[in-house]
Amino acid sequence: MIGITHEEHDAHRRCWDLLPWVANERIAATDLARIEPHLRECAACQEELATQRRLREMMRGEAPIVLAPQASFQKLLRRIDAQEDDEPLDAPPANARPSPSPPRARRAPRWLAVAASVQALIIGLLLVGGWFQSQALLTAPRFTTLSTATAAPQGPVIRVVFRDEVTVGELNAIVRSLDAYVVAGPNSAGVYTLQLAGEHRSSEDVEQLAAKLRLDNRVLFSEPAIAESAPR
Amino acid sequence: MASNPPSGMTSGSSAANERELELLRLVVARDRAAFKELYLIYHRRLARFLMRMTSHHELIEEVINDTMWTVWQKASDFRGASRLSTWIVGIAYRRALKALRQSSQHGHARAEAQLTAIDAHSVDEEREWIERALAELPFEQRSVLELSYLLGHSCEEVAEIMKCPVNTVKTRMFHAREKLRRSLPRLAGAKE
Repeated sequence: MIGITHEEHDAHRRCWDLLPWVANERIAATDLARIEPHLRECAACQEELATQRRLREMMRGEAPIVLAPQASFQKLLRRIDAQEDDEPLDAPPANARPSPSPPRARRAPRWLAVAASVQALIIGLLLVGGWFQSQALLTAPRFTTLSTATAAPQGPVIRVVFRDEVTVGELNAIVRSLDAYVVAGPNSAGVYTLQLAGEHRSSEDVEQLAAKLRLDNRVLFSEPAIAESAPR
Repeated sequence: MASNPPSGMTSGSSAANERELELLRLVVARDRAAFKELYLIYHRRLARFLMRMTSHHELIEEVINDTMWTVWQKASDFRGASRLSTWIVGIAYRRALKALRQSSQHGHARAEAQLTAIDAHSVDEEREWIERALAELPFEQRSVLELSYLLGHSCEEVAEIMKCPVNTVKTRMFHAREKLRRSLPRLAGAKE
């Protein structure tokens, strides 16, 4: 290297540094074009290139591989499955990007899918049942019983408690004899509310009828009242 | 995900890269058969690389599976700015570095000492000498040699794998060659 120019020294060093990638044939084409002129002329670089090629050849010699890739792969798959089963259903991927099919890593575990299906089925049945029930209510005939609340009575009413032994027939006969009808009751205390019909709507008429009822031995209690306070 | 092969890439390696890219696309779609094919390709490469770092097979398997686990998880992140092998080997290199440091911290034998054990079973005298000499190199210098000669990476790819400047790769390679020259005088003479 004695007597070489600065440019020649630089060219030698540049070539020397890149020789390993000439040896492994992975040098960039532009770099190869730059060092080739020097390499053709420099015996030291040619010798070093031969050394590096031999080193590479020996390093690439088959080393004994004693690992079992199939078993290792199965182990990795079990790890992937375990991780995916633990992953939340709606967890967004770290770097979401459209893919041809949903990544398995983003799918719910099988048990969760089954539970969701069962839940959807139950909700569906409830909705259908609810619809039928509402339809039945809409189309059902309206029945009125003695205990069914009717329109709020207007005007004076009479509260009456009959003896326990009074039959329904006797009760009806008493009510009809008063020209009245049952508008409520009996409540939990056995009180009936009677609405007077026709001309007997004045307070005085009601008081007189209530007094008359008190004289009946089948009646335990009788009093005039106003409709708003009628017991239910 | 498509990538243009860098200059210096042979047509064979370009075709291999294309095949690996196709496999990765399938892996993004969660194709396990494609993942297995990719795994087997890289298992062999990475095992050869890692066996020069440590003789602990469990550690090698752990690094390989950690690497391929990351590939499975991050396949959609790969944008094709480099060869697929550069990306995967880069993951493996960092995993290996971390694992070997932890192994050293836990009192296990150093990688260099473990290599001696491998050499004892070698039937190739020249390779045994080479491996003994490599074992004397610092981890980074040995890695530059092995990434270049064993796995066939370009200088720029080695820089990407090791996350360092290209000039650092050249410097590490320079020092590695100088040390091997001193410890392996037979290497230069073997060609004669």
